[in-house]
Amino acid sequence: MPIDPSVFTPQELVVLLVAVGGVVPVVVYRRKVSTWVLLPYAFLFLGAVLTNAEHILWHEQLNYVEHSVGNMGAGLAMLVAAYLGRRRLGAPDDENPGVE
Amino acid sequence: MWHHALIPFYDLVGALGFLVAAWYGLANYRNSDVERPFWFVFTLTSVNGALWLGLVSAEWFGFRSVLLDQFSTSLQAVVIGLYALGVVGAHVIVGELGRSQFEVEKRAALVSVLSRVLRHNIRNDITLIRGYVATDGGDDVVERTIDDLLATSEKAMKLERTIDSNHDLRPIEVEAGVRSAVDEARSTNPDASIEIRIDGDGAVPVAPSVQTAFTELVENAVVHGDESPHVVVTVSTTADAVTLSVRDDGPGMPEHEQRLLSVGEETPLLHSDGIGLWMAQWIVYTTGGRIDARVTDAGTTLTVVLPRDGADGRRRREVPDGSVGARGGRYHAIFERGIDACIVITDDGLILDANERAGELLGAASVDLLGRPIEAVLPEDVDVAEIRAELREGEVARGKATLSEGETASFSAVPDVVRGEHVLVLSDD
Repeated sequence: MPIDPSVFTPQELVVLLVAVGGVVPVVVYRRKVSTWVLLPYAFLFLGAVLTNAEHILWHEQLNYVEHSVGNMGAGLAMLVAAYLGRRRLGAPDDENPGVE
Repeated sequence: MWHHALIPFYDLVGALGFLVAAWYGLANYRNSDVERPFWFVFTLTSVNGALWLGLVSAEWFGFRSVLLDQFSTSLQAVVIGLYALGVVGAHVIVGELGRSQFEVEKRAALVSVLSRVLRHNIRNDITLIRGYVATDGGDDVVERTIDDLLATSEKAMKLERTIDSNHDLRPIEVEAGVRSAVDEARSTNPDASIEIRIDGDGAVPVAPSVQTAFTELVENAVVHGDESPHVVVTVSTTADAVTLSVRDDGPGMPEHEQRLLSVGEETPLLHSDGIGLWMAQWIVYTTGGRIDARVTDAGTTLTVVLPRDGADGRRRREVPDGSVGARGGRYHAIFERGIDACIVITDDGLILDANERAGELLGAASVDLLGRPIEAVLPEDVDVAEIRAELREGEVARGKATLSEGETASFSAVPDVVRGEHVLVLSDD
């Protein structure tokens, strides 16, 4: 089934482009960056992809996943990363992320 | 469907997550040092993220408009871009900085240990060897070599004290520093003729460590000069710089030493024959100056150019008022310049160190006391066995001694000033 380009909004396409471009430094430096710093970006990337993909197929389902996993997941992952960093700066812990 | 009603809830939770992350990020920013850039970008991203998801969830609660929708989508792009480049980038950079800092601290600790081993452990052992050699009527070559080793150890100690104290001591006037350096060179080389020429303001301040560099350069010129060396020391000052030149009439600085000055660092194949020239170069370099050598048929001229304070645009450290110097410098000065004789002995009663006054009171050069048993140098009426017994018990020993010319002296011996080393202080009555 051909895709109608008019379903995509310019802003959402820019979001997708930024997310795809942003994957490059994340992948290049993935070994130098702790998991808890990479995880929020994974959720943000997912949300960016789904916000465009939902215009092509499974609109309701992908929209649901975009908000429940992508958006909420990004916020919670950022919270956890910041909390663990706070704990490390206050009291060192081997499991804490942030800058090692 | 019921679960779609939860969508604004998910966005709201996400927004709250970003908000709390921003709050923690701000706290982490305040509590960190090297990681500050990371937490700054992290907090900025979190604030934008909270705003983005807050607007998205608001749309679900009826606050809809095209403008709002476009703005929230734009914010999403900002958050993603900021995170990919800012947060990840700052994390990598700060991680590298942290690792570099760790490496610097590790090397500093290693240098500290090696320095201690050089100036303490090795020096002590060399001193004891010297004592045995001198007592057994040893070879002159061996004694000279040992004295050279001790001198090298002394220079290493001096370098460490210079490094430790440079930022604590007040600047000195360049003319005063040069004259002190020349006096020191004259005291160890009385046959040398050293001329001082001052062109300009001799009161220009320089770092106190520069005097150590001057001393090394003047001594180097005297040692490598002719049989009766003639050295000319010239100091000239301009608005931007202080220039010191030391000219000797010797056969000329070896080429490898000249290359060392231009290269600036020692390598396994290119290293100075002694520590003095390297020390002078290191001091000049770390005070922002440079040192050059010019060799002609008439001799060698070493020229040191030091930028005056602020002339090179760099900020100078503040010098605190009234501070005397680092711990090592102060106590060393007390030991060397005290009016009482100070002798450091081991548990076995062997002399590790003795100041000049000790040599004067006991009728020998202080260097000739090193390594010898204390009972061999103290007057006969001193009960050394009793002193050593009291030191072993951890007690201070006191008493009187009759010196060679019938004068009396009081002594006290303090146990374990450093573990295994005791100090005997003699003062004439």
